[in-house]
Amino acid sequence: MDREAALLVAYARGDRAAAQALVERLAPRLVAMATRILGDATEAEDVTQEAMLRLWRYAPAWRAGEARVSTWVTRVALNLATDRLRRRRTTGLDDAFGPAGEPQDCRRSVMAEMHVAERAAALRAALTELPERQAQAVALRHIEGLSNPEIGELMGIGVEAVESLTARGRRALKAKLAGRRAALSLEDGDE
Amino acid sequence: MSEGKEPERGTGQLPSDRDDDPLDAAFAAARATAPAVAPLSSDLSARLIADALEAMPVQSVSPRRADHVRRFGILSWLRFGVSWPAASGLATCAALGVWVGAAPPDFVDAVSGSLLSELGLEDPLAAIRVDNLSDAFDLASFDE
Repeated sequence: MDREAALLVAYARGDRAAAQALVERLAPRLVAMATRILGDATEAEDVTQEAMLRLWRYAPAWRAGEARVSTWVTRVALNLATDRLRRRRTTGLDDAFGPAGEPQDCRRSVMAEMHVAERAAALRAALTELPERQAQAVALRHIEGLSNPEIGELMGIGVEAVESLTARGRRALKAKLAGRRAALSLEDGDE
Repeated sequence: MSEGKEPERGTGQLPSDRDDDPLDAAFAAARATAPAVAPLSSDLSARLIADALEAMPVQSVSPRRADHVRRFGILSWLRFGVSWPAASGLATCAALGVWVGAAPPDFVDAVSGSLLSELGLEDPLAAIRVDNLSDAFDLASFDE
């Protein structure tokens, strides 16, 4: 049994120190992942809270060996984040270019930051138009930087299926972003 | 997810990234939104712990108290779990059981004897008959 599974079992038996340890081990990564996918720290915290709440509720039924706790809760957070992203579809590309997408890298100039934020926001808006599984695979591969086997484990599919999803997702994204070159500020924004 | 992939996250340094590719530039921008592991705000941490305690399937125990419960066994029932009226009721029933076993009233013998005879069985305790507790400590006499 991995360490997190042991902590979850202890939590289910009433050990509050185990709850604290699980929060410290799991939540920071969930917040980071959700922030990169959603571009909004507040929404990312809500996603993390909901994912962890589902973990607490599932704790009594947890069976050793069925999955890794970190994988399980990351999958839940990923689904919640992509659901929220897709609900923004009605917002439209232009409205997505708000301060929420602003990066935290203070080394860039203000203008460069704006261009980066615009690119990230345009990408997230385009992701909402992809089929859900494609959007998840692309986000995990190209935003989260996970390997194909890691994505396969998270999504419960084989490596070939991951490759297929990410390839189709990239093609679809390229097509969607092609008409948005101005919004992406590629000509002006590249440093 | 393996820990080994961690340095690549949020750095924009994935092998597939090419600065001249608009899509990869957009991916890099999205990755720059947050570090690989974001520190938890104190507010979020408090919310997560509050949720955990509220959803806890059994009453929360501290490690020290859990150890105490294990160490003192049945005494810990009285202190933490079982109320005093319930405990005194349990003790009364136990004492009554001992008394009935040691010196059964006449009606017990009558009922058990009739049951055994109906079933065609002999009283297995016929050889050992408790006389009477009031006769000091000579509890049993053996039929030879």
